[in-house]
Amino acid sequence: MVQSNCNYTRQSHGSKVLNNVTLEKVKAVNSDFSAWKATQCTFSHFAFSDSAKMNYLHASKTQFNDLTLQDSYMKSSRFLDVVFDRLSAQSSFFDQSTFANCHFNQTSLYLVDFGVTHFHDTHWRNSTMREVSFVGATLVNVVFEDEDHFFVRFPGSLFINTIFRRCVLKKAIFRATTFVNCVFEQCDLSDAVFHNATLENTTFVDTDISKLANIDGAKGLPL
Amino acid sequence: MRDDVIFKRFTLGRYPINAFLMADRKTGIGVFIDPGGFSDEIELFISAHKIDLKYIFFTHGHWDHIEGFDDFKSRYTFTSYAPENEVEGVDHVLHGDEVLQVGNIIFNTFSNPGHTAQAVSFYTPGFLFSGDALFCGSMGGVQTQEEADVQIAAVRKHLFPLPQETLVLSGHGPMSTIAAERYYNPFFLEK
Repeated sequence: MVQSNCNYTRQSHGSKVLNNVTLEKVKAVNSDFSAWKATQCTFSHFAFSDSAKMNYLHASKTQFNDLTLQDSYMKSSRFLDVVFDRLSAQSSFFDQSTFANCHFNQTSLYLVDFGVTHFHDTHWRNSTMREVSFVGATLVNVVFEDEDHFFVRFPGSLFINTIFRRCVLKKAIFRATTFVNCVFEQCDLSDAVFHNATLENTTFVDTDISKLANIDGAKGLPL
Repeated sequence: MRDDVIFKRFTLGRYPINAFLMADRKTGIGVFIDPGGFSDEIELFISAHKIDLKYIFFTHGHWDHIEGFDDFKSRYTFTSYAPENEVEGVDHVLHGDEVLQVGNIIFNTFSNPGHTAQAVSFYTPGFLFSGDALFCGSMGGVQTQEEADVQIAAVRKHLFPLPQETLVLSGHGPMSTIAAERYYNPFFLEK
């Protein structure tokens, strides 16, 4: 089924189960699509704004193309085998969600909350992030590749078997963050903070750690 | 998430801050929190949503949070509230134990000194406007260890008991939730 060119303003859609559905060009203003379940679906050119909600979403084997969130919510959701191409979000919330075997390609984020979110076997590629929160997040087998981050916050988060490859991580906040079996490869860590971070079996390959801003209390930094 | 309010964050000022507009969808009556500047975007938003901007709240009196006050005065007629001795020319002073009504929206104020001597936060169910007392994974700067201790104690006492799903909307940086800050913000974890 293909449905396209829908505009919703102040509408509540209740719980829905979608299988093998394609939705295109949907504009949702202050509308509620919470508790949807989507399997093998394609969502293209979705634009959420003005406190639009898609909380408690369960999405699997699903593709989001050009999803845009402005002042909107996709909280407490589960994403399994989901691809996000060109996700753009500002002043929005994905907190307390789970992303497993997901791919984020060319994402653009500004002031977005991924707090207490779990990422497993997930790949971020070519994202631009400005002041994004991953406070208290857990990231296992995650790859960040060719990323451009500024002032992204990871305090109190846990990284296991995670790779940062060719990433600009300027002013990243890794305060009280734990890294286990992680790799920073060809990264720019200018002014990054590792205050009270714990690094176990974590390596820095072709990555200059002489320009970190604060490493007080850090354990396991190869200084 | 509440359906009864219009809510919008703005980036304002020379040293960018988060400023917030909240209005009651039923009456259109609204409040602007921390006018650190002014922009066409604000004017357009207020006009497009037919908001009757009747109130200005200040979390504290640092210049980056008040710089747009005169611009708002020249355009709107409102009643202003700020912590005692922090902002010149406001109509009412706050001590952190008030109940304020904006249309049908009820706000509670909480005292959280430290970053400034009389700083306050504004809470309405679902939303905490924390100013610079509580940031995502951090807290606003203080001059002394004593001020830090006061601020940490106030945040733990007044803000962390709020419902865990409450959005934390701070004066700078990304938004967060009480749950994330209470359990993962390194500045507030019990040693």
